[in-house]
Formats: sequence, structure tokens, C-alpha cells
Amino acid sequence: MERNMVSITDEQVAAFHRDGYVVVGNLLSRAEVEILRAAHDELLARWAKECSATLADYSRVVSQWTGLWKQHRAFHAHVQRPVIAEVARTLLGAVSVQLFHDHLISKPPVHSSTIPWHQDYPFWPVDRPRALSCWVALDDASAASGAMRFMPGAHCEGEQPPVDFLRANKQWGDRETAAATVEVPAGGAVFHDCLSWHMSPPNTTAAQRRAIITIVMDAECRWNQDHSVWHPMNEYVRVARGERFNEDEFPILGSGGVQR
Amino acid sequence: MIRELSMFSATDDLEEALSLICVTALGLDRRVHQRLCLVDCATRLTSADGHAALAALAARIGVPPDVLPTRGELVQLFADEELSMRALRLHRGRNVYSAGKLALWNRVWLPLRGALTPAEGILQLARELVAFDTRPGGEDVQRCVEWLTGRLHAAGFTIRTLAPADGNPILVARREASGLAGRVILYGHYDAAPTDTAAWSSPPFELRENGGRLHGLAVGDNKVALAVRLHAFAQVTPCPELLWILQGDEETGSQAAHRLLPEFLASERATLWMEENGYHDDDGTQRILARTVKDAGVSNLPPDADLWSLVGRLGELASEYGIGHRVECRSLNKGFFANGCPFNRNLPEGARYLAIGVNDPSSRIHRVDESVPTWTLPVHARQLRTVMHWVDDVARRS
Repeated sequence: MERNMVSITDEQVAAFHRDGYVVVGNLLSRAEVEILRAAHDELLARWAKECSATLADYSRVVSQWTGLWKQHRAFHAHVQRPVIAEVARTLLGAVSVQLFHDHLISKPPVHSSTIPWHQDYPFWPVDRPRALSCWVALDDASAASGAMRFMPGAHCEGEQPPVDFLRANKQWGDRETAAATVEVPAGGAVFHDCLSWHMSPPNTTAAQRRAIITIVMDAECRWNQDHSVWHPMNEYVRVARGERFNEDEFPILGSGGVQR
Repeated sequence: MIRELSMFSATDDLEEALSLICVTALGLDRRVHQRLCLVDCATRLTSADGHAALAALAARIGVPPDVLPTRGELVQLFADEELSMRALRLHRGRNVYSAGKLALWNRVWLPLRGALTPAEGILQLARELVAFDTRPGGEDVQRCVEWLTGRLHAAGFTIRTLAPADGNPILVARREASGLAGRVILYGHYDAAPTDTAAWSSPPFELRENGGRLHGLAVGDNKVALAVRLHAFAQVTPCPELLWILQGDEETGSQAAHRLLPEFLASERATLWMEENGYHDDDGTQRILARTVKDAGVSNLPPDADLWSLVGRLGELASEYGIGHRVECRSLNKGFFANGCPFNRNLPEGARYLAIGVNDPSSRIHRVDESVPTWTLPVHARQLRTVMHWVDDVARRS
């Protein structure tokens, strides 16, 4: 697998606004995927040691990490990919975009479960829903391994109260029947709106299913702690409520590298 | 609030639940160990003695031993969650599925929850009772009387309402025996003290559960105990004959009750006379007030042999919850009323008197932010059953 020259067409932009998500093809080459996998493996070994745990125990128990871009140069380089910023700017219609945070989610074989239907934005201390996630598969994401599912168009209904992942039992009826499973090969990317409704089932295969997610917001967004008082990024904010996020922890992302 | 695990307060809820298990299983001082951190709970419950105490608690409250995790499994469950917590602290890693918290909740807490926390039915009754403003001149007195009448009817009571011109209605509720011999006369009240609500830190007419306590106006005097008993009598079968007197002016001196109850009670006899409520000490120890009435309620004799046997049974049940008990030969202190309690003053010679209940010294009776500990409710509910069966035993022997 080689990285395609990522292009974003008018049709894809329209699909993003209509459905709340869009698949943009292979964002990363196999080599680039391997670099990120190796970086994650390196971090896993370091983190397990830091926690005085065996790698097996650590990998079984811990499944999400935030702020990898500050912990390894490969992830730092990943969030700085011009293509991510450019696609985000295009999809958001923003002059400038800013990193909210990155995170890596692992669905290891056996030890994963369902992430229920939810929107991301209700969990964020951001004053407006002008943000998206660039979700890049580091392993093939199939229906069996826990590929994301989306309810196309549900984002148009606006923000809903945050979903409690431990108690979500809402029945979605026809809307769920119409949900789309978005299978993505390693290196492939899905951009989804912060109001999109998405979920992921458990990984029932014997293979890993990891994804690196870069959350990008319109640089016009302001910090609103009241919108999510407990979010872990709040402790990195050094501006007053209602001001733009400080760029040392929430850097402005660059441009270039995308064909339109 | 430890009724359901939520992602928004998962650690808090889990620690509160595990702390309750620790103090109950290990008999810890509840004043000192109200809230233990997860690591402390792990240390205590995964030791050989701790795990044995957990198994013993399960056995006492009727949970099959194989439902709880083995010691090895418990060690692993705690180790996984501690690892997740370390990862969060050290490098912002976590278990995105909350599997560790869920596993502890499902494997350790859920099997024990039903015995250690109040039934939802009790809480619902308490919510409805607290919502009534039954302070002197309160606008909900009549609605509360109607609500109580409906609840008592539904529980099989026949109600006679005494409607004094100078006070709120006195409900006299009777229920025939069903399968048990003997007779119990209970006392209670539905009015609330004239408390200033402005300084409350939570809405006084909303039952709020926080930090292992139920908050709300009159929860300790006397609406939660009333809710527990209403719920219990709607459930308890078989049951001896019951006569339950509920008045509405206790907090203002019980003028009408003082006038009406002497004649009314003079002809009544019972195996046991039960006070409106009772207390636990700060450390959880149950304070059982038990006496034999002498000189028209003015002085007390120690419990007779039968009443001592009830005290023994109640103490045994208290020990199932990891608490001791002590006995005082007196009535519930109502010294703030110059003319005393119309129930206590009119008990017949030789009456066996018992006061048990749900309050503790932090209940702040008649004051701002009144509350009762949550853990005492299931204890009281079970003790009521014990009382009813003791009444049957005594009545059949007599």
C-alpha cells in the first residue's frame, strides 16, 4: 500500500456536510503507518515500565492515550501534517485551524468493548461546534475489528446532551438501521464532524485495531470550561474563559500538501 | 450517589460503594472511614483477612459465596484499575472502556448493593414525603395527610382520622394480623419543625443523596423513618396486628395529641410499643432504647426477659452490618417539648418500649442541612421484620 496523493473534491466536501463524515483515502503510506506503529510500541514499552507493569498487562488494560504529539516526535510530525490542516480548513471553511488534542485508541483483541453512539462535541470545553476529527487507521479497520459506524446526516440535528458511555441504551430504530460501517485500511482516514453520531463495536478479530485521532478546531474557537468542566485538556488552558486557546498547548496547524 | 455507575462520576461512585463494603465487612469505624480511596479499599479487601471478611459479609446477607470474586480474581480486578489510574496520572493513558471500574462494580458491588443500600421504593416514598411542606402553617399539610392515608390504605390499613379543631389531623391506622400473633403499637408524625430554609445548601424539599447521606427537610425527624416503615409494612407478610398513630403537631407541642391520646391509649394493649425513630452512634454502633414502663411513663424499668431477647436479636442483626449495639433504658429524648411526648407519657404500666431507627449524631435534627445516613435504612427495614417475628414468638408464649 502506498499513500495516495490525498485529494478532497467538491463532492467530498458536500458529502461531509451532508453525512457528517467523509473518507478521504489513504492519508499515510505503509511506511508512515509503520513509523507510527513503532512509535506507539516504543511508547507502550516506556509507559508500561513507568507503571511498573508488564507490557501484556499494560496493553490489556490501558487503551487510550491523549497528547501523544508531545510524547513522541513521530506523533508530533503526524499532527503537523499539512494535509490534515488543509483538509480540516476546507471542510470547516476556516481561515486557520488549531489542534485541540490528539489521542490514540486501541481496540486490542479480546479486551475491548463497544463505544456507544455519541457525539464528541458535548464532551469538549469549546464554545462552538466548529471542529472535526481526523481519524487515521493504524491497522485495517473492518466491521469485525471495530470499524467506526456513522448515522449519516444526524449531525444536522445539532448538539445533544453528552452520552454516558457506561449507561447508553437508547434505541435508534430506523436511524440505526441506516447506519454505515466505514471500513478503512491501515493508513486510511475518515474526517468526521464534531456533531456526527458515531460508535464502534468491539474488536472480535485476533488482530490489533489502533487509530490515531487528531482533533482540529477552527482557530476562532474559544475556551468554554462550562461546556465540559471535567475535560482533561482544561488543565492545559492558560487563557481566560472566552478567549482563544493558548497556542503552546493548542498549536495552529500548517498548510499545504493537498490537491483540490 | 451509588445507585448506578456513570462515566461522569465513575471513580467517586465506585469509591463510595467500595468504602461501604469495607466498613460493613470489616466493622470499621464509620465516622473515620466514611470515604476510602480505591487503593485503600484494595489493600483492605484483598488481604487474606479482608477477603474472608467479605465472604463472611456475603454469607450473612444471603449472597451465594460463588457470586463474589475469588481472592485471586479480586486482586486482579483491583490491580487492573490501579494500573489504569497510574497510567492516567503518569502519562494521560486510561482504559477508554472503563472495563476495570465496570468489573469492580459488577463483580463486587452489585451482588451486595441490594442489602447495603435502601430499596428504591423507600427512597421514592421519602422523596414524596420530603416534598411536602409540613412545617407549622406549611401549605402541604392536608395533601400530606391525604397522601399518607392513601399509602396506608394501599398497605391494608384501616384509618380513623381524628380531626381536632386546634391541630392537624391525627391518623390512627389499624391493620389486622396476617399470620403472626401479637400486636404492635407504633408512634410517628408527619409534621416538620419550623426550620428556616434560606440557609440550606441543597433544596430543602428535595431528597438529595450525597456522600452516603440523604439530605432534606425533616429527613431525620421524621420522614425517612416513616418512609422505611411505610415501605416495610407494605411488604412485610406475615405480620402481627398493627396500630400506628401518626400525628401532625409534634414539632409545636402536640396540644391535640396530649388531649386526645390519653383516653385513646388507655384501653390499648400491645406486645410492643415502638417509638418513631432511633439513633446510631457516629461509629455506627446502634443505640437501642429499650425499657419497661413504670409509673405511667414517668420512670423506667430495664427490659423484661422477653424484651432483652429482642435486643439480642436486633444486636445480632446489627452485627451482620459490621456494627455493634448498646442499650439504654430510657425513652427517646424529646426534652425540647415542655409537656413531653404524648406517646411516651401515656404508655400503660408494664409496656415494653423500643426505639430503633435511622438517625445518627450528624443528623442535625431541626437544623439546616438535616440528613440521615443511607446505610441505616436497610438495617432498619430488616430489623422491623425481626421485631414482627419476635412479637409473634412472645405472643404465642403468653
